[in-house]
Amino acid sequence: MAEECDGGGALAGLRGFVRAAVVSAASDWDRAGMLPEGILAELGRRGWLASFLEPAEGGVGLDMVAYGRLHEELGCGCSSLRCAVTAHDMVAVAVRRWGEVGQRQRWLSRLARGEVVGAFALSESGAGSDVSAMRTVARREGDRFVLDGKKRWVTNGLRAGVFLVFARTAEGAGAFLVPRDTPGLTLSPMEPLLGTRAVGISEVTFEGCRLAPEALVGGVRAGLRFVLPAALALGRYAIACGCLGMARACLDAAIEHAGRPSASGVSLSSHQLVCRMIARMVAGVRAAGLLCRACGASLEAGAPGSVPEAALAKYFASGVAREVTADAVQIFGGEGCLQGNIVERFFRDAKVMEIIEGANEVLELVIARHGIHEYLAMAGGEGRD
Amino acid sequence: MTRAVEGDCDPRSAIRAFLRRFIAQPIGDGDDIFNLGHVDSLFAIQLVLFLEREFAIKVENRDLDLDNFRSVEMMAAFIGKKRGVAH
Ligand SMILES: Cc1cc2nc3c(=O)[nH]c(=O)nc-3n(C[C@H](O)[C@H](O)[C@H](O)COP(=O)(O)OP(=O)(O)OC[C@H]3O[C@@H](n4cnc5c(N)ncnc54)[C@H](O)[C@@H]3O)c2cc1C
Repeated sequence: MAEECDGGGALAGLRGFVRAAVVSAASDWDRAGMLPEGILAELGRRGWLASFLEPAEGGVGLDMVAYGRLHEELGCGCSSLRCAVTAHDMVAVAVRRWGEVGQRQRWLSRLARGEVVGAFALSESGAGSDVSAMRTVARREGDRFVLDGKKRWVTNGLRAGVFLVFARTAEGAGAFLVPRDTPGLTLSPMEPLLGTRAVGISEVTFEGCRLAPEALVGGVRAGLRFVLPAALALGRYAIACGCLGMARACLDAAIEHAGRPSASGVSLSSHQLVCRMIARMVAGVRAAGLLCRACGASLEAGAPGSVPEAALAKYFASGVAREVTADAVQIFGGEGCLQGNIVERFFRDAKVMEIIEGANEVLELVIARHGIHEYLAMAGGEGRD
Repeated sequence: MTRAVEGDCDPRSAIRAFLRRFIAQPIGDGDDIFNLGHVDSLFAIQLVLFLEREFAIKVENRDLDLDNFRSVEMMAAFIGKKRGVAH
């Protein structure tokens, strides 16, 4: 990580922390299917949760490029931990961007300190890519809302203190902040995952959960149009950077492995076909890095194009991560198939990245439309933003 | 893209130029762009970012009423209101 991108000092010690406290433990977390208690609070103490919040809001004021670096470094160590931070931060960004003053005061600094863990509850059985099929409802009862439904695939669900829940209302789709201790909210762990096994994924059921009026974020029709895309832009960018991190870690591991002389004194890197894999990995990592930085700069500038750019970065970097992790397993051979080898873990994690936060096929639609819009802007005499 | 300078009196042409990227067919200043059926789920947030950057305003949660963004006219009125300038 370039020192000039250390977020004005806020990322000092990050690489050492990841090496000492994350890389060495990530396989155990993966096997246990759970991050250790207190790891998010530890990140919070270091300023690495909701780190884009300004100091007055409880954060360290990271700019978006440095924020990407944070996710890249965490991604180098453990995708589960990086995913947990991403989901948590998506709640924080939604509250920061569209929350009322009271909501911001109640939640932001606690989220930044890791005193409360955030979870993002959108997906349902049969309503993942197609959010319009969402069945969870929030009925008005006087000045309150009553929430009924079931969410699946909730990252951090088992540890969360607050859920950002998307639900239909009579007027449109809303987003609601639902504290974990709300009567009628129950959690059940999901089956073990292919990858990112330690994210504490769960189903969350809401049965007659009575929500205070101040649970609603951004208004009763703002959920899918405003709250969700603001959170997704950050989340997709964070995933892209996390994918870059895991690809970089696998590239380093593969180069190190390929450079070792075998018993006969020949290293794998002396084979041209192995070099071809390494060349593709290097090219992918470089290109993904450039897209991530460009996306970070665009988000920092508040450019309208930053929203589709985040989809593009996630799409491309997750594809690179899948290819690079698969090539790394190939270069390691049998050893790459063993549990406990980081390339084996990242290989499983990478596949998940092509599905979450918008399956890559769905993102292709977003990217194609963005390309068309940019073309039309250029043809109309405007520049790109 | 050149930005409209704060205080520029008529924001309509910049808004029209932005919308032309998303909506291929000609639209009138009074047309409801959300009802034309040509905008996707990421359009509204991009529109908000555009208005904020282009006109140096901050769209707040209490502004998230689609009536502020439905048409070129309504957006121009909204910007005027935010800037405290009557159009
Ligand atoms: C580890 C993990 C963590 C997750 N964390 C969260 C979380 O914290 N919060 C949350 O709300 N959700 C979460 N999810 C859910 C995730 O966002 C969804 O799985 C994802 O959006 C895909 O939805 P789906 O699983 O219902 O698949 P489907 O929507 O059924 O899609 C299946 C496949 O069909 C194809 N497809 C679908 N729609 C289209 C289309 N329009 N065009 C072309 N192809 C298409 C794609 O190839 C896609 O992969 C998580 C999932 C996983 C695996």
